[in-house]
Amino acid sequence: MVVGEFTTEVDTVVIGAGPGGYVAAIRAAQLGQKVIVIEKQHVGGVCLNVGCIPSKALISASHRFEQMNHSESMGISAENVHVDFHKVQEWKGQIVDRLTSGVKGLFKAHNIESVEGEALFVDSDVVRVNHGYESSRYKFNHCIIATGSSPIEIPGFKWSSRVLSSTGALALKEIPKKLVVIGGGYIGIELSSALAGFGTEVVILEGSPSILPAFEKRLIAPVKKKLKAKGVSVFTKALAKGVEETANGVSVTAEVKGKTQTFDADYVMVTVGRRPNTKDLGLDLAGVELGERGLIHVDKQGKTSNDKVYAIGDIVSGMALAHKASYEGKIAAEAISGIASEVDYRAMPAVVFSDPEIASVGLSEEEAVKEGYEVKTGQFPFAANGRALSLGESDGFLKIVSRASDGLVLGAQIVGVSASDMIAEFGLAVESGMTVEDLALTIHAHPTLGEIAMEAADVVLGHPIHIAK
Amino acid sequence: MVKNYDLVLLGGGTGGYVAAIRASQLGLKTAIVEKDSLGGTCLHKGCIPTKALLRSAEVFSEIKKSQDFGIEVAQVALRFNKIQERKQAIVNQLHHGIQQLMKKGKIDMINGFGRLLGPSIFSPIPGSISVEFADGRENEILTSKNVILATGSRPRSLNGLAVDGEHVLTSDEALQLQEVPASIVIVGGGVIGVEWASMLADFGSKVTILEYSDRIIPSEDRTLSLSLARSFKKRGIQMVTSAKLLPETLQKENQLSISAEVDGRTETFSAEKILVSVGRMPNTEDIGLANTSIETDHGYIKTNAFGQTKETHIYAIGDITGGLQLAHVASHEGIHAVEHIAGLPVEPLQPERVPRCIYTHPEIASIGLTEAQAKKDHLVKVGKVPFGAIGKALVYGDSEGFAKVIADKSTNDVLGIHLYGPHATDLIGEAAAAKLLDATPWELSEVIHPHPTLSEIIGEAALAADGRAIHL
Repeated sequence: MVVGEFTTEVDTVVIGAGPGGYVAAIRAAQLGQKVIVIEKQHVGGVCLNVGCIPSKALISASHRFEQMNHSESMGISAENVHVDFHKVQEWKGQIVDRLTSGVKGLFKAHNIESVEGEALFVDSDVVRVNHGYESSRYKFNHCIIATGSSPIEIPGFKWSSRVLSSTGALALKEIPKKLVVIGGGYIGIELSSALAGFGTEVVILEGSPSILPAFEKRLIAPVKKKLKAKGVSVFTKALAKGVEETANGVSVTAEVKGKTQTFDADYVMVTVGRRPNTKDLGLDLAGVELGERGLIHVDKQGKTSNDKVYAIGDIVSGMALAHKASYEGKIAAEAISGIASEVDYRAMPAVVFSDPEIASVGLSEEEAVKEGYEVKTGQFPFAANGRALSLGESDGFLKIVSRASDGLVLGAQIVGVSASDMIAEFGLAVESGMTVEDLALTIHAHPTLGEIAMEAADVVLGHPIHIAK
Repeated sequence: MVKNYDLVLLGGGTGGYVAAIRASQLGLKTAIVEKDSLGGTCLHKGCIPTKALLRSAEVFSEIKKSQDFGIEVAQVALRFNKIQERKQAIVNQLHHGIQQLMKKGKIDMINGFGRLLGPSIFSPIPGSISVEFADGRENEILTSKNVILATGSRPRSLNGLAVDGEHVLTSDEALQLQEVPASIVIVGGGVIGVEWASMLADFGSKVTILEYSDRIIPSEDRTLSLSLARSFKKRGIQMVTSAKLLPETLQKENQLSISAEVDGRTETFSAEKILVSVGRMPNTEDIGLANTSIETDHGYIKTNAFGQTKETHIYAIGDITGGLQLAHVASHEGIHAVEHIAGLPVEPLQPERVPRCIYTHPEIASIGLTEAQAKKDHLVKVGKVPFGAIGKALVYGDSEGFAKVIADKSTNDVLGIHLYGPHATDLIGEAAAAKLLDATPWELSEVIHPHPTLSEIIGEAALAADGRAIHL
């Protein structure tokens, strides 16, 4: 123990103030606990500062820029449209500031103490927080670890001012003329799409046979089509070998389908995944066991091998998604408050803010079949929906996967405009055990995109109105 | 010539053609009698063309605000003829689609004006239909086991204020405008009036709304009215509520001018055009109802919960039955009527499960009871969350608005959900499913809404109703 170091006793310590940690902290405080949140860098975590929010801000600005360039078809002529990227970044920064200060305000409102510094377990119920030359200790009844994840650096691609992670790409001061993106997962695709919208010539190198490999093929076809229209070149089965930095750019070497190729660009962005931040927490001293790939093994309430310590979000298994972290955070906060909550991932949605958007919840057809379900599916195209036409966005479709015997909705996948908004209804459907008949009976307003959900349900039932068999 | 059918639909609008498709699916020999174009008001004079125009208006106003997020534009101009062309192209595409569906469903299309006949040589009971054709050829007689009346409605006009199509318009004529009027007085601040106000203001018109009641969109929740009014005011739309129009004061010199009685004073308003949007009236005067025992009330046809009229083999659906005059109500009533005819089990439509959308900017979407209605019979709890607390709304660059969830304090049933803000009409689908399920706020809050999406606001408002909001 350092001289002069006090130990403060608290009910709950939350390590990490991202969307997992801050939600857990608020929920725990609502349930009457005295909570301390330790954050080493930014309140709001990756999501608010260098993830979901800033990336969606760029996507939104890029989308509007494209819309203006194509507004002729809407009967609007916009001349000399150009991007002031400095201002775009400033706008993005304002949104981030507003949201992070909002979280700080929520901490205050719930009497949550927020401590800046790096947390380290020194015992099974004590953490030490280092902040510069100072440190303090907290003895807790419960601790929730929510330290999130970081971009994976791959061999041969050391981060630099030209070799960027998603964090680096989000902070760009200029629109690159040319960008090589390594990794065509959702982060790679979202940022590629946004920058291509601003005019960057983008080359995507993806190791597997397809971009967005987690989604079924048909779902990504409209996204591929749009990427192509934006001038994005996609190379699949492409293994990035190395990068050479030149005076004002990079030269990336990759093996594409067995052949070595080089790609010159202003920058290279590496988005091949994220790894959990579990290394420097002193987990061994806390008796928290690590599983494979640095993930912490937890039970259905988020409890680790130490009864007092819970873990949530990107550091436990499953998709690295903000809303998964928030959800697990709420469950963990309730569990340590004596409420018998546990996780149920059946209705966990996933969204890609590609163009058009992709969203899914529950099981895909393939997953459902694998789980032994006899399934019945129904698809309905956006092109047969009046609202989609009036928006001028008629690419895409919605697919429902249901259990053949009784129509139970097992999952849904959407690619199309506002897919991210529309998936919520299916979240409710999967969560509450709705059948396709329920969805068909739900009156959807006309003319709205929601009618697509109803019609797809009608397709499953065999009597769609606006599409002929 | 006499043709026999299982089912004849009088009117091929959203109610009629949807019912016809359902009937054909169920194996009924079906015909539609339509005097105008298949698709009806909704497709040709309502929902679809207005939404097409509104989309152009939205893009135009977004472009003008694009500086906020770093996009500069030297000059923006409207090409109104292009906007109209795009609108028409969308209408044509959908119209063509419906025609194809009729063909595939082997549904006979009879393009003429149909009227019900009383007992005749064709049938001992009322309900045969005589179709009159525009070209004057001999009427066709259709006999049918069942008839569904789906003749819809038309804009109501005001006594003493004749619609001339040039100065004084209804929405029918407004859709054909070839240029944006410099100024317009909109009489009636209901759903249609406010949509036109929002659109025309975005296009640059100086808009004045005269509303008889004490607030615009008076049938919606008070907070929606007030919020929309605040937004309109900021956009320079003048609203005069509690205004009693004096039609006889209309003058057509240079500018139009018309007066209204407001708070006991007479005020005069002038503009280039006047749009009358004071509701719609049922098309029931000239369809032969007198030949039957079908009863009406103020022109609206009386039916039971399944859509049956006094003549139980004749059904009526949609705008002619009163209630909520919405396309999706008509189509659902149509499906219900057909299924009832086919002997399938039918659960009558419940108004509290019908979503209502207003495509103003910001959008409005609501379902179930307003707060005032709810308070009449329930002890309520209310959760209200601003879009400003939702990350995606900020990112979208448009965070004005809120979501409001109203629930019964003791039973926990969700009674109403009211959305005002970006993509509200996309978000109401979940609310409609929740109403079908009789969901509680707790159930809505248990739905994992993906981050960062606008739909998070529904989960958050549900939490707020239970007093445990996270982001508030």
